[in-house]
Amino acid sequence: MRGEFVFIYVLRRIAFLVLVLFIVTAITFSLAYLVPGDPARLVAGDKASQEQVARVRLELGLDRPVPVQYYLYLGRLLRGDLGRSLHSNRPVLEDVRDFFSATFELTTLAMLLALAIGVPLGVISAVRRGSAVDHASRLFSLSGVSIPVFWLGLLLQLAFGMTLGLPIGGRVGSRVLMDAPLITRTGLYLVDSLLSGNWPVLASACQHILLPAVTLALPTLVLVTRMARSSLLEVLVQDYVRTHRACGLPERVVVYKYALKNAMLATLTIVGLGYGYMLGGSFLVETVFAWPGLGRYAVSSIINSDYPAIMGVTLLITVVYGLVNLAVDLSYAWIDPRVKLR
Amino acid sequence: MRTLRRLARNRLTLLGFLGLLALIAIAITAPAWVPFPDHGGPARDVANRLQPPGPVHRFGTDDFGRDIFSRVCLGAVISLRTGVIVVLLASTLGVTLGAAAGFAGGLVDEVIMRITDAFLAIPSLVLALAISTALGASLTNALLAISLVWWPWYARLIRAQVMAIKEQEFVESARSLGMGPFLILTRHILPNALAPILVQASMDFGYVILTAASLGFLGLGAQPPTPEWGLMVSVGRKFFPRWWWVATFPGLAIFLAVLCFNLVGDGLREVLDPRLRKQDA
Repeated sequence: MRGEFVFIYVLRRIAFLVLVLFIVTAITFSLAYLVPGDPARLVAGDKASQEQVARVRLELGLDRPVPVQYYLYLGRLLRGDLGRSLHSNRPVLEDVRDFFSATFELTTLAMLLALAIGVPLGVISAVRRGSAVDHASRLFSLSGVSIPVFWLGLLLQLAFGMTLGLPIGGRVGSRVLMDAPLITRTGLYLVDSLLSGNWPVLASACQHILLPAVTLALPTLVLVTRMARSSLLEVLVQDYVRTHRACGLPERVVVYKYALKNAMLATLTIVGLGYGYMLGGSFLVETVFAWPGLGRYAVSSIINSDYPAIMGVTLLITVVYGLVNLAVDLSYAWIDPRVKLR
Repeated sequence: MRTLRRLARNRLTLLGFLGLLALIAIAITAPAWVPFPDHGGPARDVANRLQPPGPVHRFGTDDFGRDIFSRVCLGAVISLRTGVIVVLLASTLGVTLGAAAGFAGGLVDEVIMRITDAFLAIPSLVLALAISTALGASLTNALLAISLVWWPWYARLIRAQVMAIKEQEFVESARSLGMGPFLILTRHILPNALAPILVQASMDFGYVILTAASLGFLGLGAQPPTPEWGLMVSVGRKFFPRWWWVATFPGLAIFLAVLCFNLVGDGLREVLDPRLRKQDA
């Protein structure tokens, strides 16, 4: 009964995701055509002759009415054809597939960091509400959401790259990779090197991912801290907590064993939102740390006015964000039976 | 008045408020007193390029020999204007659509709210990037793009307000007096529904400035030689870490400006949200 219900819920959410994708394409497609300029000229290049431009226009179907073009574009999308990158001249789908694993690895590690540090910080400032620690945590939180991540990345490079000699660009040392070639199965260097027992690559990959992951994690870490604090404060005044205290349980047990579990539910909702921030932030952080992921690919596509590539990345990120949020909502209902899926 | 006193009691909020006043003062008066007022434009002083911070150039100079302190101060007005324009555009669009949805209900509500949900289902920076790429790189287009991704938050907020207020008795009596729906909405419902929008708008300034700076950093906002802070960090990155000051000071300016807005916004929210007030009392 419940399984069937969940299935219908998932189907509805996926249908909504399709609607979202449709709207994304509609917005960007219509905007691209509102802007003056000749896309055929852009594709053919500045030096192309009049005839070459005309041929490109015909090839890309740019001579047809805009609604027809949009219709054809949607048809290609449905067949999984995201078009061809103007810059790399490869299908966009292949490009984004190659770059996605790097971004996935970075954002996932950043999310784990944000949770592992943010939750304890939130607990401390809730338990010691009003203390100096709590005020410091407020200032830290507001600073964390105010700091431009691209600038934070530069500062960390200056602080740790120069002094500790941590690498400030790339995923893994190229010489390390040459000495101990990595068999890629998942595309996640940390996982691949661990699975194949390739310790030099694992060590190098850990060093490389540390600074970008910390940079990307900070804004979400702060959100998690605030959320953990406020939801724990709400839980701590409830009757069952008072009962536990009245029974003489030590405060530590009351907070960590009984209150925290319920407070975590609200904190979980921030994971979906935070993942969205991270996907956006990855554009900036990957640029600063020369991280060969989707964000950097998108930024170089922007510089090259590579429109099909940018569209492809935007659509893929929207799908990933939608799926992460679906997973968060499902796990929420799974952990807390009182939650009803709507 | 009581609200103001309570705001002032929190030292961090007060600090943020003073910082904001300073920022506004700098934005308005900078051209009159910065040491090199012409360095906000395409000026060049190649003999003095990449000078470290010192008595003449307090924040050092950039690759064209321009005084970074002057440029940072001259850039304040750009960020402030960005915040004001985007918040105005986004809230106008959001309030119009959200109020229409909440007031009309039915199919209109359904269509507008599904579109709103769809916008919220895309990471905002990514959508802003896609839109400003489609429009072409310029500060005006970046502002448009950010406004286009920002309005759904306002639409949701105002819709809930309008739906609650339209059931109240004074609206009923206005209707029974024969007032038309448009007048009821604009004269009676909206004035009562705007307070949370104002709070939200005050809290959004910082994020808008941060987003605009991010677009500038990626080359999609203001174009050289504009002294826009995000763009200045982006240029300074090429000279990092040896000539660290070129990127560091504009970045610090972004951070401090956004922090002041967030301190004030956070303080406002705590004062105006009775639930939080009781909790922290």
